[in-house]
Amino acid sequence: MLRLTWVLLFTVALASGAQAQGGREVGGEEAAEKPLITPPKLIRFVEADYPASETEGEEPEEVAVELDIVVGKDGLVTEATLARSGGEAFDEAALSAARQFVFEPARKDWEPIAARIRYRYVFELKAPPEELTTGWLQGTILLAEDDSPARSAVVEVIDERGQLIRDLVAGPDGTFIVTDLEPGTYEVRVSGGEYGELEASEELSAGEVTQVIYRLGSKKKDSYRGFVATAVVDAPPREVVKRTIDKEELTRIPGTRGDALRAVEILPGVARPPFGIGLLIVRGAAPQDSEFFIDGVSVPLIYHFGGLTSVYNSYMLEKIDFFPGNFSVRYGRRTGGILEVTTRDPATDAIHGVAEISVIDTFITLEGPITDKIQISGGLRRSLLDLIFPAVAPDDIGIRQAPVYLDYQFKLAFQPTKRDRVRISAYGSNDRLELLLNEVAGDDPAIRGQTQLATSFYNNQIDWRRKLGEKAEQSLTFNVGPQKINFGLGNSFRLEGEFINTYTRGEWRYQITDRVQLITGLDVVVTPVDLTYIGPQPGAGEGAGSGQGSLAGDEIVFTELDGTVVRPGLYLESNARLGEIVQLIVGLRLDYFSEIASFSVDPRVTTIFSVRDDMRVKVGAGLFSQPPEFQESDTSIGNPELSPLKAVHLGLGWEYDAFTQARFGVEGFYKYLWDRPVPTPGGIAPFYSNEGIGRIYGAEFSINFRPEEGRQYFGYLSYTLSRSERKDGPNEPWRLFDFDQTHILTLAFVYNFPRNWEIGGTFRLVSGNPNTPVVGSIYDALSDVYIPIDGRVNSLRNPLFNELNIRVQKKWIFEGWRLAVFLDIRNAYNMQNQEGIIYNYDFSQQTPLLGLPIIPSLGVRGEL
Amino acid sequence: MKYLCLLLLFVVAACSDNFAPASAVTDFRVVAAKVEVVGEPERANPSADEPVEVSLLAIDRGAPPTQPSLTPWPLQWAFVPCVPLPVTIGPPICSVPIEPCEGCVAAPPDDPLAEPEMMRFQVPSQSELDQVGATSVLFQGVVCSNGRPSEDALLRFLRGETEDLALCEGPPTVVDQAIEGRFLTVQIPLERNPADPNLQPEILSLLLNGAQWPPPYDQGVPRNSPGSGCAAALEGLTPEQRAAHPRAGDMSSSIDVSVTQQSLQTYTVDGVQLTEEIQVSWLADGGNFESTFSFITDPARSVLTQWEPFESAPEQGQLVRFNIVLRDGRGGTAWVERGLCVLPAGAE
Repeated sequence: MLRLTWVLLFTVALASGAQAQGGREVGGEEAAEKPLITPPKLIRFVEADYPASETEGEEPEEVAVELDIVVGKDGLVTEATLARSGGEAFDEAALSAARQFVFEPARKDWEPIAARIRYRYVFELKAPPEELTTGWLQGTILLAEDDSPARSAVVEVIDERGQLIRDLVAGPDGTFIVTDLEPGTYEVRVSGGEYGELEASEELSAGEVTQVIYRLGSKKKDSYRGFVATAVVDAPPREVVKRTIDKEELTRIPGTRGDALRAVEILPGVARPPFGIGLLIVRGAAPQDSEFFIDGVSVPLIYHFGGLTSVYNSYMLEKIDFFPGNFSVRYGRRTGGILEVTTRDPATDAIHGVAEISVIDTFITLEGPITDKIQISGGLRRSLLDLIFPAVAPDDIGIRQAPVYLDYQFKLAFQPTKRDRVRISAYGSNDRLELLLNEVAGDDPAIRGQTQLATSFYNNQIDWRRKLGEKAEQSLTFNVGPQKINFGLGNSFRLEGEFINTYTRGEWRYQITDRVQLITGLDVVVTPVDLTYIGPQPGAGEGAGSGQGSLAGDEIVFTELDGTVVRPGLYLESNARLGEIVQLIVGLRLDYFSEIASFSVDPRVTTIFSVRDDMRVKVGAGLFSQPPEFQESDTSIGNPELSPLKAVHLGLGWEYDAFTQARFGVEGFYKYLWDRPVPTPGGIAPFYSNEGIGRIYGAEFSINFRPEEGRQYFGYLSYTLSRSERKDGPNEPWRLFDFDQTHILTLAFVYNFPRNWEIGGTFRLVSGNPNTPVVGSIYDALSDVYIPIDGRVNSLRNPLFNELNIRVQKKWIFEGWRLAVFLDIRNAYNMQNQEGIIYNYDFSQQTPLLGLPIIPSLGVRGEL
Repeated sequence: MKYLCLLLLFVVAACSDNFAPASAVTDFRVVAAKVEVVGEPERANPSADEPVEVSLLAIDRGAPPTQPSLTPWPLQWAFVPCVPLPVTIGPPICSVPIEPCEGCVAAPPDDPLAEPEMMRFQVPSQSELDQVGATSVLFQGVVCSNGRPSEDALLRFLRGETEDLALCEGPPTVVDQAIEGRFLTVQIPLERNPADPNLQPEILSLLLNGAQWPPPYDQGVPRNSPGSGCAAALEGLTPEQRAAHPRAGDMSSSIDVSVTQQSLQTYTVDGVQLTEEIQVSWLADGGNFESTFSFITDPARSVLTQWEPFESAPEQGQLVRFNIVLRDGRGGTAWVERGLCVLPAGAE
């Protein structure tokens, strides 16, 4: 049997950037101004048959065919042409095989880019074939302070016996490559002159390219290694719309106090919640229609006290993916959007940490390796509001527990074998507030007595990812976490609940052919629930009208729920490349909701057209299902006969990398909702029916801009034009959704000045939220309160909202650590935006309810 | 979302200093309704087939010293008793009207100072109540001051043809004075336990600064007493009684109301024994109360609040009407009216 060997020989030229660089000289100081480039890496080689016609006669020792191959952003070959012939038969065989290669795509900074490479395909008649026995080490050296390339750093590779195997100098772009190393463990020493030195231990395997990024600190010491990657393959994008915020930008958006999860607010399609509370309002969907995930597991709360700070420390996050609609069948049970947070693995090189204190809270994080295969990280944060609150609270309010929040995170990363990756994490959040109103507050007799709010959850999770072979991968996740909620308002309202959220996901990916991948998975939510509710009949979750009026006089209902909710989901998805430019993703999801004994079947399809290397068009359509809220299907106060809420999403998107510094995006969307649970007229039994419908449509425009190289600045511009409407019954008129915002304009820009000054701003101009006027009132003689008479629901709108947030930061870099002082100002020009209307006791007078004033937050942060 | 609204309710309640509190009587209002079982006025909750009488407490800011001078102005009203729909959200809605209802539609009597007739109707039979699962009856209607109920406007509003709730129409009974109206609903819980019926709360005492309320307004305030010029009514009082009336700019006065022991009844709901709390509503057409509501609980059986007079008063004195309403939360109601004549600072 004839065997083949091959030799990889390549040079990289930017497919898109070559023109942009034009007549720039290479060399000298300008050489320093080059982008951070990572070349494509072949991960799936296809063996071509030695042409049978060439096996007769004198056997050549070797026939080489050189090909020009264009590797797309998704790692697939988009073009293969002959550069140097090795004979017609060999040419044909080599081209045919090369078109089926799969690469990890080239990257510029962190973004995948198309790249053209020269590939030398060698046909060699030898027997027996030799297996590839060597490994390669490929790396990039950056400066820690600003991620610019460390030019001309010296790299030494030393083997286990202490012998110097290679020494070389990194290129002007900070990259280096060491080829043909025997498998084993090597010590790599990097010397960066005044930027210090670094030592790292790398393990190389036969037939693999190990990629590394090293970061050198300043002043001689304590550089650290960013991350190590080996043959990592990004799953091709499956969603029509997926927006990712780069981790380097997560904590730098002005107005967010460094909170990465607040950065989602600048993305198109995200509406502004009133008072900046932590509601995720996505493309006109109600907050309860969207869901948050941390490392693939749904979490009940993402913000403390309704939006003050997120529950997971931003410095321990890797990235945030936001799916405003048409999301993959991996996600179910929701009809709005998905926010998926991926936490960062602990550092592998040395101990690192961050500590910060500000007016609002203080936190500390620590991370580092235990062994070369085990790393851990942890974080703890506590608010400082309880120190301030007693000083500002009115005298007649007894403070049993001033508002305080706490969150904590722990993660352990373990790589037992090259094929296995294990993550064990535990994280949680705890919010508490307890007041005693000795006297009735204001003119509402219901607001008195003990008022408390306490929420907590604690998740314990284990993830295990394993490569089952060359073509298959398995991912298993198990999470169990208790959750408690306790909300009480005097004698008028009480909600106490204990849940044990248990989540299990198993997912299997199989590369059937080079062009077709299959994903199948099962995710199961099992939640024992123990819940007590005393209060008024819940009514509508959205579209409830003015929301005014006292709890006094409301008929009090009582319900107890003690049972277990089981929601299994099964999904199957295929990702196929059809021809050169078409990618087709077809998925099917099956869900079961035990609380209403109901199934749902949700097919979804997405098609991506790679029109050019710098342009893509995406079309998607899908069905989405969502179970009713607990009060809507409860046997005492709801209707257990309800069906799931359904929605169809249609999306059309266009992405264009017009310039290397800017990416444009346009998305159009349409959603139709039906079987929405709505209260029956007057809230009469069965209390809810599936007679509600909705329609949402609009377009989003976005521009992301950043420089070709380095991170001197970055910015986002997004504009959303949309309309979201609901109909609460067959005889009801269409009305606006509670948070319909016709225009949402956001501009965020951050610039790094010399001497480590950073200044940024975020400006928002947003349509006001609709509101329902109160046109009169009825005096309730039994309770001595007034019952508001609402006008048409959401028939008025608050004035246009505008706000400027500013962030200024100064950083000092010392030996092995950094210090930063920042000032984050929300609503910098103290705009008095109207958020609603306040009425007097009988609704005969009104005044605007104003939003938050200027809120400066000064803080100090140290990073090790 | 509902929980978010509740939180905002808390915030708004704490931030509503822009408006005059509900304890300040600045316009015409109906502030209480009392339901009595005919022949047993101490009972607050009727049973099926029992006749009930309903009386209302209507108040207003003090009238100017013109002729006539009435507080409130002549009233007209229109009410409908009914069996309610079993709604759980929104305002109560009538289902089946109860007929007949004596005195439910009335014009002002010829003598404006005469006590208005009580409104009277009969609670339907138990079988009629069981048909709709009713545990209460409803009494809804409009009271107009200086005008009459506007039936057409109400019907148009209820049909959704207009969002203007114009309750009353003219011509005004007293020329050049405004027409005002209130739409009210009285939910009348039916007696759950005839063996231990719900009783009206009973005021044991009402003290001003720890002492008996001073005359001449210690039994109420005549309806035709104008808002100013009360100093003349204090002539003939003893110096101590005269001194008991506050002066403008004085420190706060304390008002203490106590109830009889029988007023704080215990009762059982779903097997849980509870004790009534008496909700006290404080109302005055001058000065400022410390709070609008207070609660009397067992075993204290009394509650105290502070009332602060205004900074200045006319030479002839300013009359302040006080209305204090007690509710037991289950339909039992009691009220009392008092008055004080606030004299200028330093007046003898």
